[in-house]
Amino acid sequence: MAKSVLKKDIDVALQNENLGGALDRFADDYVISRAKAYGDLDFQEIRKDIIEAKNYAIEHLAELADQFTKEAEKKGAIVYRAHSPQEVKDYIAKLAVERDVKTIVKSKSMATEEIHLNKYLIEKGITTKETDLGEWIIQLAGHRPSHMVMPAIHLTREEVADIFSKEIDERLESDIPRLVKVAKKELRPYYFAAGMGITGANMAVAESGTLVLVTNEGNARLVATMPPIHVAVVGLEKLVASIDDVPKILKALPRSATSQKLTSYVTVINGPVPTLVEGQEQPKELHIILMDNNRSKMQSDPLFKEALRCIRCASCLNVCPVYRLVGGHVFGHVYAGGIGTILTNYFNDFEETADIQALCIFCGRCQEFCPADIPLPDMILKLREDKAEEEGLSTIEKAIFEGVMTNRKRFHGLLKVASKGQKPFAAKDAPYIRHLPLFLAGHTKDRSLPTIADVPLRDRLKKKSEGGSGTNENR
Amino acid sequence: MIEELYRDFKREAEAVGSNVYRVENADQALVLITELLGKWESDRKPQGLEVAWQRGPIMADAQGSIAIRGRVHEENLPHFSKEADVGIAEVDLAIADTGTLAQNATDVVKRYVTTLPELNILLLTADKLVRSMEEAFAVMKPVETPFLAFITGPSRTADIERVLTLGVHGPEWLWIIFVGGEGA
Repeated sequence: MAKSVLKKDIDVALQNENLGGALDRFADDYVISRAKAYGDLDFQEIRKDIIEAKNYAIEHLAELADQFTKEAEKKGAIVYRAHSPQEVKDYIAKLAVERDVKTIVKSKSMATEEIHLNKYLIEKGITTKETDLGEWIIQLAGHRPSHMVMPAIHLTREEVADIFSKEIDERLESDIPRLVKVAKKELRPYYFAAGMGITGANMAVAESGTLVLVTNEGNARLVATMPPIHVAVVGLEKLVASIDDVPKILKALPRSATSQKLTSYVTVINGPVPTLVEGQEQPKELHIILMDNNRSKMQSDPLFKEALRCIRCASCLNVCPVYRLVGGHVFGHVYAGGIGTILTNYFNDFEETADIQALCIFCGRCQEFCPADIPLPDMILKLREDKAEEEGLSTIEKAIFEGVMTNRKRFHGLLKVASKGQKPFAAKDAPYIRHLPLFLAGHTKDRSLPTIADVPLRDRLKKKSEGGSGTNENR
Repeated sequence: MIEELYRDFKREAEAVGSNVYRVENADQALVLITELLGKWESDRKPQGLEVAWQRGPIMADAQGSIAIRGRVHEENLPHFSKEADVGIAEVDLAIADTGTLAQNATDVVKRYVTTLPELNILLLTADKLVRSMEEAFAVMKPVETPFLAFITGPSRTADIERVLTLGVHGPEWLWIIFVGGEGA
């Protein structure tokens, strides 16, 4: 993405009141409802379990992938080890052609978003339907997800009503329960018509070749039940060693992702299950694609390998003051926010990474809330240093802060959220204080930001950092 | 012990939109289902209900069928589940901590009955209550069961403006009936 395009995206996002409103409300509600979902549970204890399980998996990634392959095949699954996105796409397209599959239903999978699978299959002439409500909305709209858990959070009910109205050729009211019913009715026949169902997986258990799907809408159960072929696309980082790791991750994933104690459905799959083909019961064909796409490369980096602990809860987006301002289409690529910056750099390796990382203000909230304690600020800082050597920094920083600073309410909102980070700016071991004021201070010298002179920025920040050392009213 | 688990289960399940009931035996369960469905259908389905009922060991002894307007199907369930308003099945375990049901759903008919209709009625015996997911994992053989389903409340989404809406692709209503057990 050219920088001028990102700047334009930032301007559009900042002027989008709907987006701002939705993200603001969400960011405020999220912290409260998440705390409620955790209740008396000790977040740090849960974290410790997850870190331990995931670190083990990262250290033994190749070994666990081999073990998973062996165990899943023992149960009758066909496991394909894919290195590149193209291999995944070719495998699925070839399978579809061989089995004469005309229609595919999908449940939500970030792994397939990552490789732009739908686009490829549709180009091959295969009808490919997203069935997750948010995914279906953005598929119809031609957008990419702006949030890992709620992909269509950038759209209002009115916009969704417009999108659906076009699809079913009937003028719909912007009544949310009605719209949900429309989606249900429209998509239901496709589960039965489809020759193939594609899902992701939230966990893949190496010792037993087991897949675990964590969902709310119930579409994944249908996608995994009705079509005669089930293809699960699984990133290598989903591997865990033992079935005992599953309840540990289940403690944090729903609570951190959607503030639920548990999602409506958790589905555990071991090998091909029975299905009905023209009323006759027969075993399904189960294909599991273990996808690398630079995850092994990530694993060999001492710092970035820690990002493989990510369980895709998206809490780092939900608490990020920059995400709150501009949303996932600006702050991220397929994967949004802080974690998205890191994943994009490895999985998609676009020039964008340079631009996206520049948006981070190093408040440290993402890491504080991360159930896997991923040091995102350190990682983004490292990216920034690497990228700065290549191409310098200023343009994009300027773009966002021009937009933010000319809107005082938003600017103050940003600082307020940032200051809520549990690590106060002034903390001894936190490197962030150094970066935040220097970063912002750079702009006060920039003549293209005339409002700065009127805002006592340094004073304001100084006050914030003093407040952070113990008297912060938000703590 | 069961009382405490039941109390916690009921609280958690109702917090996520399930309705929880408890009866002494299968015959009472039948009476309860008939009564509840009578109320449920009167405003929604004036034409009467289509019910897909997979009768399992718990309800095997219950005398007769469900006395409602409409039709109760116990045969050819995959076919009738597609159009049914109500699916009735039996599950294996309940988890008190989260108001969750566990079901070995390897039988494809069981999956049709529990995933397709908009109202799902799931029965289990009260002695099948455990405290946590860890305990459920110890009991439910998660590495051997081809399709193991955990169900916590109705199908839900918040994908449009984060507004919670029940009943997307799965059931909009989930009624849970405990049958038997001490103190019922």
